[in-house]
Amino acid sequence: MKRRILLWFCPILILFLGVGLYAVWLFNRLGPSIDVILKENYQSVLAGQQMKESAERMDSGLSFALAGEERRGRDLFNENNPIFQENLRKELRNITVPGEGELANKIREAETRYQTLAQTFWETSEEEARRKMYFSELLPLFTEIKNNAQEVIRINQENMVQADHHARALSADSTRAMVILLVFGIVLALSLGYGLQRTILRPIQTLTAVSKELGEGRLDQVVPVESHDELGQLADAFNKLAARLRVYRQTTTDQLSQARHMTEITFSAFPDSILALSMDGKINFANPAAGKLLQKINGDSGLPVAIQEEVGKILKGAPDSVPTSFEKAIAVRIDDHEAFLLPRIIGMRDESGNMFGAALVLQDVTRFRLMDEVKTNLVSTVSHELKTPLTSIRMGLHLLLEERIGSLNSKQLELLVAAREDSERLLRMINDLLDLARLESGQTRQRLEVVSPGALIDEALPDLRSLAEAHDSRLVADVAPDLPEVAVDSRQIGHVFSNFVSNAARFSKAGQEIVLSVKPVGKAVRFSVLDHGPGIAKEFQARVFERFFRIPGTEESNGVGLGLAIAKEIVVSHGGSIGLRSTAGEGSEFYFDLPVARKSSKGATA
Amino acid sequence: MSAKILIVDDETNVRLNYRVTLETEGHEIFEAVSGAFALEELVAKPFDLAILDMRMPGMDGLDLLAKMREVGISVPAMIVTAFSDVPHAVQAMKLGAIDFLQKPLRPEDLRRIVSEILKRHAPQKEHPAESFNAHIVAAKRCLNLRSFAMARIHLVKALELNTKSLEALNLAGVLAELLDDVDKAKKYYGQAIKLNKNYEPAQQNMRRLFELQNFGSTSEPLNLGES
Repeated sequence: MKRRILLWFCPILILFLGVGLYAVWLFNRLGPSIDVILKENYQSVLAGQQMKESAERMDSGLSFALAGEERRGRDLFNENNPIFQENLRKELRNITVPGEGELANKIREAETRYQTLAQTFWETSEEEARRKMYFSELLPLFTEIKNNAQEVIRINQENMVQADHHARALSADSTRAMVILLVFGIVLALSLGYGLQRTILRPIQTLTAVSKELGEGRLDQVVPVESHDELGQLADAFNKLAARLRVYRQTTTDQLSQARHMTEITFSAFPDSILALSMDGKINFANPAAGKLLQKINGDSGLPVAIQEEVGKILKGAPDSVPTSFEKAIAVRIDDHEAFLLPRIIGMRDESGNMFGAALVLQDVTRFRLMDEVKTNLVSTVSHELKTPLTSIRMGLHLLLEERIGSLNSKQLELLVAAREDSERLLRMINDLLDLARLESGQTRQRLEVVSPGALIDEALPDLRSLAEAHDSRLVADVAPDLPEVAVDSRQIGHVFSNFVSNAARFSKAGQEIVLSVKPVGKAVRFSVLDHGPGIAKEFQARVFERFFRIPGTEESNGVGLGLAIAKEIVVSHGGSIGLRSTAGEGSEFYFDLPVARKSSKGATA
Repeated sequence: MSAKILIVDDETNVRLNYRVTLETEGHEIFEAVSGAFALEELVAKPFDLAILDMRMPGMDGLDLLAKMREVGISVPAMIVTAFSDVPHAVQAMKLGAIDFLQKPLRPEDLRRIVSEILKRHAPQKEHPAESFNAHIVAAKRCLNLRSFAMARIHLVKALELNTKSLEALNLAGVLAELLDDVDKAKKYYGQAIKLNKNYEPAQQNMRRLFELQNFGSTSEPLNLGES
């Protein structure tokens, strides 16, 4: 491409170079020659005229002498003689025109003779002899000199005129040549421009047009590849790009249609009812399950009023409703049976966050509710049935160990103590199970109070201290100042504290420090219990909150493996999160984060 | 001090435990396997105390208590509950049973509460004691006997002697509850909590009232506080 552009500009370059050289040559030739010619000829003309004039004066001097004015005539002659001589010399030095030399020589010869005769004339005092001399010799000589001088003037003037003509002709010629060259140059430049436009601009224009079409979605465009230069490469790259785009569009189109197809299949196969609602609460989409369900409930395809109300709240900007508790289920009648639908409503928003509708999933939780009730009853029944004999065993053991009804030997004592320990453990296990079941089923009532974390710690600290001291550990509290308030059921949270602290104490060596700290973390308050015990290996960290999980290799002690599971349930039911950080060999830090209480949530919720 | 005590429980082993526990104290123990048998016994003999299991098949502890009062048996009664039976406490108290034990129980717990009730109902000295403790004991005795007006008088006197008694405040709250004056009950509990945030009986009673008001039921027992 570069070479092509250079090549295109070469003729113009050569043309300009030629014209320039020609002009330089012309000026070189024209300028000095005219000048010199004019100058030389002018000098010759000047000398000729001076000679002519002084010769006439000298002749007049001779005439004056003949007329009796000897003195004036002699003066006039002598005065003009040197002028003549000088101009003759000038002329002789300035021979330029052909024939001028001969004329000058003739003048010189005539002048030499004239001088000699004039000498004789002035020496002759006889008037007659003078007259004779004058008319017969001096006057013709004078005439000859004068005519020759005139001739010198004429030929020089002619030469000047000729030189002028010559210069004019030359200038006219060069003007013509310049005009021709200029026209030629313009034509050349125009044709070059046209050529350039054709070779550079047109491919670019084609490319532009095709890109525009491409942009409008017509991907089946091909740019002709006309050369192998940069433009050709660009066109080639462009074609490849278009080809890639075609492939990409094809695959995305396929994927899209496949995805849509799959979505449709999924929605149709989904046992739950799925509906999409517009801003005015109208149903835009309903999967077959939803259609059938609504038909069964109402006999038409409208939403039950209770659900319509819920949807209305979300569409008016309430936060998404994704209940997990069956208590939020809405009762409807289907085929003369009571059924429970759990509505999950999610506001659908576009990229800029503007709501354009809502998605509604109606889950039939009738069976779950039934199972939930059965489970609750089962747990309490079983636990009661287990607890009754257990309490009896335990009380019997206590009675025996009191030794009020008879003394025991050491073996009996040892066995009974072991039995009592196990009965205590079994009881704790059952109580924990009950607690967990209650927490999980949402039966446990929370009495949330908005309190400052500091006050919460102050309240729990004495019990926690004695818990730690029972294991020969020291509990240190580190509460950050100015903590925001949290909404807690202090009894439940106290339970979490004592679980953390008793774990920490259990795994600490005697005299080791346990740090209970409270600090703000983002929009939450973090309560943590740090110990310097053996720590928990990474592979077990994720599992410690699972029920009945016990770290392999730990001593079988009072723990049942439910404490942390209960703690987790409690924290989660407070809207918080629980976690731990631990490095094996360095210690563990169990923590839970509680959300900062909103001032308005003072009071209590279930 | 030997007393005649009737144990009403459908579980044979439980009855055995209670019997052994209390016989070591020198009491005379009688057993009944159900509410119906218990009523027969109660009508036939005089008892100093009846220990009723709350949960029994057929007639439960509360039913039995109601029946006893109906036929005019005013024997002091204490009630043994499982954790989940607690909500009926107020009803039981209205029937004069103000002492509760929650399963699982240890022998010493049973002995302590039995001895407290027996002391409460021991024959009175000629001149009534004027000490704070005497008034508290008298108030409880009146509660057992369902003479709530007298119980109030004793409590007022006790509070005059010790305005900052947590136990008296808590008891006054319980009494107000028994007379269906929930606001007054809250006031008394509130005063006790104000004096000591960690006083569990008042806290528990407050929690119970709260749950009753908000959920219609509660898992918290009524707590008379320790004497």
